Amino acid sequence: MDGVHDMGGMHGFGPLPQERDNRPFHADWEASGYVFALLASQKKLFSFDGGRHAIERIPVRDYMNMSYYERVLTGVASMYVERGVVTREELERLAGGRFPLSNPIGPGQAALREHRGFDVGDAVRVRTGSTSGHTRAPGYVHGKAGVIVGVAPSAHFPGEAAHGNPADAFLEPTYHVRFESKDLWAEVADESSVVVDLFQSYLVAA
Amino acid sequence: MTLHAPPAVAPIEARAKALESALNAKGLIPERFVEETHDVFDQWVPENGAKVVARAWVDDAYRARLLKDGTAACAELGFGGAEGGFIVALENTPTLQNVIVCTLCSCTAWPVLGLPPDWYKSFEYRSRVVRESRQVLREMGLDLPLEVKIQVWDTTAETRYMVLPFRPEGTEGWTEQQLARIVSKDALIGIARPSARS
Repeated sequence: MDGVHDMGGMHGFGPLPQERDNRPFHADWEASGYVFALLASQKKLFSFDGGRHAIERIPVRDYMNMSYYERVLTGVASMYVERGVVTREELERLAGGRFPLSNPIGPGQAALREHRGFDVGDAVRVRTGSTSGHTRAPGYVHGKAGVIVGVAPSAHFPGEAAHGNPADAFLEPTYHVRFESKDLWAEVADESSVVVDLFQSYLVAA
Repeated sequence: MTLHAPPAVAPIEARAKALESALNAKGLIPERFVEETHDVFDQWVPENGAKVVARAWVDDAYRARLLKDGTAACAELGFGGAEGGFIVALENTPTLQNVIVCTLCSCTAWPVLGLPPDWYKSFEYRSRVVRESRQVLREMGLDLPLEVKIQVWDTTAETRYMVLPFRPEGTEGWTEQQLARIVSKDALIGIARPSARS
């Protein structure tokens, strides 16, 4: 989906934080979202794809204002509500106040089941045309050409895994595709590059 | 006319507790699940990745195995599991700096790098490092000369990356334990380079 989470290359965020504290947690509640996402995965209620998409569906103003772990908790709680495990009313009664949740889920995206596949060294282009559902092809590479530098084992296609039963989602390889930064952005002055891990269905031969 | 203010958002601590209580009431949380998951998080520390790097620095055969099959090489040292199902090690050279990001969310190789730090998940890092990597590294304290090419890896599928820094000068004769101590979480993500003085 074309959400604010897809922020690679977006302008306006300013300098990096100067204070760098590498501890993962700073309060007791912060691990909750991760803990109950792992529980859901173990109980086969929903996968990380479903949880990620639920975070993407958090209303934009909330997404921007919530802390990272607040977004995770909101997305995971939304999935438990959507899968019928708990209700919003129950959560709000227990929390003693409003419990913001994600926007409703829309249609997913089907994998392309007939695909010739690629090898390292192949020139490829990322398909254009965005989806309202879950995708792991960031907007900044849509329509861009790159070269395959690695192949990863097959994984469940996100547009199916986040929208239905993850176990039924089509399995396909992902490719490490290298893009020259100059092909992505107008102002690049050095020889930098960006490698993006892209599902087969997102790619066509260039 | 009566005006009702909308109910206030419950504090985040109360919301986290509410989800736990609701799941518990359904009997969904196995005994000790929460505690055991916390224990696993505590075992995912960058010292794990540092051990992998130090081994690769002193053992060429291990280094070759790490670059060929990162998952298996990390498993040799006991590291793997959630978010570590397919680990790829990215080899730095004096003229190539690999840097890891997840622009869409926060994906990281948990078992070897540890859970990601706040700066890695910040909107500033996620939005900017794929577009102006050199400037971002400079702001984070790594000012690389132009002859060093920067390659950014966006973690957008199931591959989880770790950077294999090159062994710094001045560490000749060091033990594996000494070497592991100079490999930080920042170096494993690629925004810093280990130094004999660190």
